[in-house]
Amino acid sequence: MLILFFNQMKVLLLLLMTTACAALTQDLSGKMFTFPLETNSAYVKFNTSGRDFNAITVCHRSFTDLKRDHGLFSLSTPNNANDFLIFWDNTNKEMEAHIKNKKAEYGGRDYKPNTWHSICTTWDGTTGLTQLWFNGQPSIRKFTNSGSSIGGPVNIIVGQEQDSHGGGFDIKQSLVGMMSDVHMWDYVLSACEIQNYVDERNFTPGNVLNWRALDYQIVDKVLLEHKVTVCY
Amino acid sequence: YQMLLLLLLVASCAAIPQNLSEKMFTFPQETNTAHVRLTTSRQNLPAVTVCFRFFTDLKRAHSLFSLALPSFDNAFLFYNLASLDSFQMWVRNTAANFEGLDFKLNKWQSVCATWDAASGLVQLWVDGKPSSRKFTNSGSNINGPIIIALGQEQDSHGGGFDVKQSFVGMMSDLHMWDYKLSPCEIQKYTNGRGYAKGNVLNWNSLEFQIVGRVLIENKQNACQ
Repeated sequence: MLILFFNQMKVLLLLLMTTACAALTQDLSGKMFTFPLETNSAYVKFNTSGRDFNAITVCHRSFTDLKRDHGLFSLSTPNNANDFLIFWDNTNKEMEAHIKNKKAEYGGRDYKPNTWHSICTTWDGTTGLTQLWFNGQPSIRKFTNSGSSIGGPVNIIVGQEQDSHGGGFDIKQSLVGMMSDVHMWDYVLSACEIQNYVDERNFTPGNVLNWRALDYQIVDKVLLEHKVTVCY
Repeated sequence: YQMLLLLLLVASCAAIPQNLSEKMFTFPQETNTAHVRLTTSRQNLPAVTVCFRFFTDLKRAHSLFSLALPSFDNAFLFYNLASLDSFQMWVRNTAANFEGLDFKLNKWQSVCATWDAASGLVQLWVDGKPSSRKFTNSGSNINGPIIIALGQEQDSHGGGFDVKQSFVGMMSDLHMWDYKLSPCEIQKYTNGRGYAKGNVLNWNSLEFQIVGRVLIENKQNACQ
């Protein structure tokens, strides 16, 4: 009788822990996600309750040696696989921001392999303007679309590029390398705040996704590691 | 009386000068219609200096500042042949070519051009660095009703736009004087401080009309 009771308690405890784990956020300061293999299945999903965005800023740092197309940040809603996508087009050598399926291309960026790049992308649904900040350097402000928000439950993925809401991955668009310091805001960051992010000074963390309090799920082979730091 | 009042209101709306200090015009897409239209009551200019700051990633030819008269569509035109690293200044429909002026993509740059009818010489200053002085034409002033377009290149007085000559990017601090600025004054303009504002066009008191998608936005300044 006692053994049965203990077994039931173990199951209850396990259940409790699983649900608690799913809702826990982690402070990933000083850490990075490592995508060590080319697959069409390995990714990290970022969870947020946010929906109906009238403005977005996404910042992240990435490191790769890929010489092909790859997605860096993929946000989909039930209506749009590419509601907010940051994508490197290796054929045209340009960084692309896809907002609600409209593409803004930014060429002439020195997207060197084997070095960390800080990339911030802003979109304002009122003016419809999109801007890319590459290692702190602004691009021109381009019109993509205005008048309607990015609505609905969002599915945010790093490591793969969504061609459908939560799926449709292509191995030849996957990220192999490292990703860190991902933040997302529901407003457009000022030039000064973006500079603070790039220079790793004090900045206001994301209010949609916060690397210091991140709710995420790893699927398949992705590792959470310490960022390599210099010896002192 | 109502019509008169309406007319007055419309006319005054178009004529209210705005202080665009710390602001920029953003031309966010390639069109053959979006432009800022500037006019001035000044009609007889024996010398001209125009300065502005611009930011673009265009690799094709584009107009930066297009001033037309009824008889000269390129009366004073800054034309960047970006693909060839070559720049053209047009005065009263005569062009002078400037090579190797080091125009950069995705970077704010300050440009000034001076011309006077006496010598007929045009000179460009890019980020404070002078170009060679080149002859266009002398003997006649820039004379007549002036229409200036930012964002498009005029092939006729106020129109004749070509999408493949349009400007996409940002522009700020536009000034125009009816005399040649000295190199020292141009240096002050380039550094952004303590320069005499334009007496034909003054960014801090600009009368303009926006046509199509051109936005007035705050300049994106670095942390102070």
